[in-house]
Amino acid sequence: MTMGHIDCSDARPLVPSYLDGELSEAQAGPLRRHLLDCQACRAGAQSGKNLRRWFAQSEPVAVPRDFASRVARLAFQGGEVVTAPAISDFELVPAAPPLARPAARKQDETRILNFVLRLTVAAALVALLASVAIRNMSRPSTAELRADDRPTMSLDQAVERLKLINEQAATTPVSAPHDRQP
Amino acid sequence: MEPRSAEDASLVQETLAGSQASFQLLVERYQDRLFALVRHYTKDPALIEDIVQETFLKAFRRLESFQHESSFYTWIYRIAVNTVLDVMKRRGRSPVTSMEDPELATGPAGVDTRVMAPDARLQREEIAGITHAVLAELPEIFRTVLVMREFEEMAYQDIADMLGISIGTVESRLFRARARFKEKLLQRHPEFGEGT
Repeated sequence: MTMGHIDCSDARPLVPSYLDGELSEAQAGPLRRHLLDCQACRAGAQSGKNLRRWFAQSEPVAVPRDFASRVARLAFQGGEVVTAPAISDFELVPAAPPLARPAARKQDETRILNFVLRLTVAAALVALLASVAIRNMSRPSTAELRADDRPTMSLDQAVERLKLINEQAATTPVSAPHDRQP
Repeated sequence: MEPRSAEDASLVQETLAGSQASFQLLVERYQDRLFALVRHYTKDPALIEDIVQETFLKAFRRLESFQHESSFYTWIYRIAVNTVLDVMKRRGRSPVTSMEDPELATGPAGVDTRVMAPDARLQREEIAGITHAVLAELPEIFRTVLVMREFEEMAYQDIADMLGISIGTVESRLFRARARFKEKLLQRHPEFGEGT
């Protein structure tokens, strides 16, 4: 290959770099002249140009209006700036923690959490009231506390009853204890 | 240092000193470009927003490691691409592992497939829809280099620096990526093949 003339085998590999604007003038000049003369290589270059047209920029993406302020607030809420290893190459980063959610979604999550908390408190109150009610139901129905529900006797009746028991005991012969064996 | 880079450097220093407003300004400066970048990987607006937000939060956490050796955009662009690839990997969206070696990949790289330009009757958004659908079928390694070159219009040297590869590898990877793109495009839309 000379500086002034190149053939197809030299020209073909240079075409993509030429279309990308990556060739020096010293390389691009001979290629341009070859393309003018060579219909086949020119068709190849045209195909490369056609391909580029598939990559036309589409409409700009709509960025939420408060995005920057929200991200800055999240960043500073997250704590101090910490030192991390410098990103000096293109290594894939290790699996990251779950993505921080945008503020709108965080608000939704907070609302749901508050609702669940309120529901839990309400359920606890209901359970407390129910246990108090059950406890009250098992208590005696009158203010007078008794060991049993037999009717009470007066002091005189009790003395009479005791006398009767003693008299019965006096008239009854005492038997020897069974455990005293001769 | 270029004026924009000098301003970025000031904003970075002010952010490190505790200025939330300065960080907000940095976000405002680059949010449009990062939204556009991430859209090449997903059409889901909520996911795009999540990824860009995560990119800025990662940048904030690592701000002290920014050495001003490259522009702030180059630095944050790298974080964005890593974040996108990481998210896509977690979601199992990559049809082929990003570690695929393009030099070993089989395909029609040697075949001179020719495609027509998009039909003039197609709207810009229709073209973008077809292109993104085809890009979504490519391995991440090819998609990334095509996005950098075709949409971001980055020079080979910048792509090489960004990906940590040689310029020769950028050239061969681009060659393979374009060939694969043409192949997938014609599989979906044979009517755009030359001579059809």
